[in-house]
Amino acid sequence: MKYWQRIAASLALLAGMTGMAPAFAADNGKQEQIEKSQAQDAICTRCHDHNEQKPVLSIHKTAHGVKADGRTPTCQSCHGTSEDHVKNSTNASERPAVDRFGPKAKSDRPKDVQACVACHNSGKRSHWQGSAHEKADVVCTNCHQMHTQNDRVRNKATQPEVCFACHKEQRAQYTRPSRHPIKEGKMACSDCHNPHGSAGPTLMLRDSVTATCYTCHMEKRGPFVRSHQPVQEDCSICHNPHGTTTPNLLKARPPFLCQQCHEPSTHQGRNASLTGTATGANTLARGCLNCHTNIHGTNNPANINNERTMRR
Amino acid sequence: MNSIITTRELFAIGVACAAVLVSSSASALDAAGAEKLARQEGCLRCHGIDRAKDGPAYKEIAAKYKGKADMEAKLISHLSSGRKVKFEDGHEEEHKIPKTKDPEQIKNLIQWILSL
Repeated sequence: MKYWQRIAASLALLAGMTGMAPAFAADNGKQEQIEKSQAQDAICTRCHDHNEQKPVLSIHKTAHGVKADGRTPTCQSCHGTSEDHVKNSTNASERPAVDRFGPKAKSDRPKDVQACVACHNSGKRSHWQGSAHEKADVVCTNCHQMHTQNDRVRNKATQPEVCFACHKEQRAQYTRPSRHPIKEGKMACSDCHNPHGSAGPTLMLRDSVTATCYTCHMEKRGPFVRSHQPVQEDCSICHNPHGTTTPNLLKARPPFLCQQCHEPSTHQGRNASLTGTATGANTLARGCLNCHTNIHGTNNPANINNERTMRR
Repeated sequence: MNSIITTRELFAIGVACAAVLVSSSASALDAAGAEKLARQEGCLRCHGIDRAKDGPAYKEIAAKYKGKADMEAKLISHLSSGRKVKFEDGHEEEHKIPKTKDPEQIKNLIQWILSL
């Protein structure tokens, strides 16, 4: 190797090492953080190890247990330092409970929620305060399981069973013949509801029932030349989204459903028939939708009798 | 023929077998049940099976007390009285009293510890 080549190689090596130094420093910093976190956990895992009846160490298989990520918690981040519990300050047979997520009074539940919200504070949870679940004293751990790899409520296939533990009416409805594909695992409760609170009614994902339904059923949104008012107002006037025994999730079978609003002043009030004049015909069985095919709204510009016929 | 077992003899053998089975099941150690109870009651938070934690390892206890007279009764009394135990740093705490009040379960637990 020539002299100038040696000089160039040495300079290149030096430059390379200078560049690597910050990387080593960063690695050292991370290692330090990991060791500090493990030392914190060790205070608890000294007693609560693999012999626990409910698995606790399995939290290290979850996102919460990724030690290389500085944002992840230690045991103390969620349960508090719990010094009375660690030292057994009373020297009694039963240790004092941990600061958070222990068997505690109802009044302490908001503290448990705060422990989670301190990190999980995105806009998806901004309506928690005052929401139906908050008012019913539900806390995060009523639905979520922290120490397991598979949090049932975050899995689309198992989530409904978690919700149905309290919402028993919906458990009965979702097995009815006309329903959303929840049993098949294609939909879950959280596709329509935000259990962490929302600006809409019944914890709807969007700001209203219609806005939530339109996210999938966008062909019903319009705008239409002729609008059917309930469609714009609230889909659940005619449908029960959790399941019914009538086709298309309808709450009752037409014409009975339709006649709840449309008083029998025209052909609805006539004797059921499949023949006769336009006002008297086709009221037999599910007759309404035979003619009023575009019940969610129509763009037909023709004014057939009147503008509210919802016909093609 | 003399070799044929009569009905009365067959009945006697059946009764004898049943008696043996009942007596053996009554005194048999249910190791799985004992370990499950130890987990349920949180015993294994302070005692390891084969390694010392805040309390001595169960194998250590077994080695110390196995074969000694009345040890089973003494250990049952130790468990149910909640008397003070001394820690390495010198402080004392009440020993945890199991929540179960079934004497058979506690006896089985002690027998399991002594069998280790």
